[in-house]
Amino acid sequence: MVSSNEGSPDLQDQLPQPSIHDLPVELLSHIVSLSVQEYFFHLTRIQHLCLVCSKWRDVVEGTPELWCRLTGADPLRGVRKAIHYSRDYPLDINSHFISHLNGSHPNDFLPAVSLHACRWKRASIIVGPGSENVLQEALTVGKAPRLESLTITSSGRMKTPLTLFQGAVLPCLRNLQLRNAPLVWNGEQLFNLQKLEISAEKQIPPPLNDVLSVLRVAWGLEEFAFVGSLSPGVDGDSITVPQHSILPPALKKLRISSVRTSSWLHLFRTIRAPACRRISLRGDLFGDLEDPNNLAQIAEAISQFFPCVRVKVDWEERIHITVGSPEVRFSLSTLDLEFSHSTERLQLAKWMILNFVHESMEVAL
Amino acid sequence: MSAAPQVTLESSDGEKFKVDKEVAERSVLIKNMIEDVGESDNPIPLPNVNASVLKKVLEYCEHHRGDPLPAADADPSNDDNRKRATEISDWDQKFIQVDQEMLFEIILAANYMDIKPLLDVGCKTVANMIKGKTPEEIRKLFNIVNDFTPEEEAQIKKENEWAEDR
Repeated sequence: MVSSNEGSPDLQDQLPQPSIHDLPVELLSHIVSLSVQEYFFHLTRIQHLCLVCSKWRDVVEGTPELWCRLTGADPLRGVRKAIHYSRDYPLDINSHFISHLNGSHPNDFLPAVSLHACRWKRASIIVGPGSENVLQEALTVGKAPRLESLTITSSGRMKTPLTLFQGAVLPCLRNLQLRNAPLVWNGEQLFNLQKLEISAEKQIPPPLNDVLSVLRVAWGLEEFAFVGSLSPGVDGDSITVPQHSILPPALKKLRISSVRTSSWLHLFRTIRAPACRRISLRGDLFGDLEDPNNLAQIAEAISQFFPCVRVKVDWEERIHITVGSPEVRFSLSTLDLEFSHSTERLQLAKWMILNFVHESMEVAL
Repeated sequence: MSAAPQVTLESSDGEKFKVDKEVAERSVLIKNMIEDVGESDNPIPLPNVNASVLKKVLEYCEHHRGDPLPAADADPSNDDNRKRATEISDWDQKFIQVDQEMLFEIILAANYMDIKPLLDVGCKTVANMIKGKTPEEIRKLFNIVNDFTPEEEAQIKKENEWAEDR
């Protein structure tokens, strides 16, 4: 960079020096927004900034984006004020029951924000014991056509399944995470999901067919994770596996973890996922592998399938087979599987399914 | 090997800066002007930026000349983006360690010249200065006059009772 000075050096000294109030309102508003983003008591901090001077108050109160994040940590009066000042902007709801200790009570917060469900964009709700009914009611007050992401976690064992937003279609919902929060499943309502994560370790197991009803229509689903066990369908004593496989064409990541039951297998064998690149399975198989000779055969077959595998038998006569770095372990009573990432392991998973399932169905991976 | 094409920028106080076109085009304003006017030996006037500020702005553009152009705005409601909201790289932190007047001059220049990454660094720096301060401390820091009348202040405090003691 070369500079040449032909101008007046004194001119600069004659100009007034800029201050923060020389910034355009939109920049001051942006700066205020940046300054409050990491605050836990978000609304309270915004309110403090109103006290600086009349210009700051006007900027803060005239910037709806600042008031869109509503948390249970803020007092109810602040939440109501934020709902007013955020005008029609989409809301980010965060109600974690622990955060309510110093803020509004969840029994007040959730009903207050649920009246504006039509403006919800993101919602993350953790309910503690005693608040499940409040959650049930809050989620049925209105529809949520702008909702993009919903996470519901129950710290207890919810007895009644939740009906989301009157069962109305959630056209913008891309991300749904449920942790011990049973749902009245409605595939059509959740047709636009890209990510579905169900953790059902403490709750009544969801019926397989209900979960599949979502997978059947969510053509854009890219990630699916299921942790827990599935229950039999209402019509039979055993889990009914659909005759026709389900093909989520966009599915790239599949994680199923279902220990102490074999329900993972029912779910896994139903899904065909040609675009899937990451699979993680963890589950138990009962009955099929009790015969040690069978184990030896399996090991031998895997060795043939993958010449590079290492096979060894330990002092408890467990057969250890290693493909890549993680080990695939077999025991006499159960099968503990973990596959992930690599093509070899995907192929191994395919081989396992084709060979271990009694009613063998073709699985395309 | 042919020399990199250069352009001349002229500050509000008449000082001329000859810089590589690639460096000058970190400013969307200048990039558009060059595209509109075409190659020319005439200096590009920047009537809103004085020489000392332009020199500083060009120092930033020179350092970041090879950086990828900024992506579309990240969703601030995303938790990760929120945590990153006020992070500033080491070089940028040192660069922006200037007095308050120069800081606001740089922000205004970056806004006028449409250099979004520099504008971000400036805004984040001011935001970090505000964090953790009481209204009184903010007034003192930026030399802001409390223009509320005693009645107004009492009224505002009454409205804000819910936010007290936090």
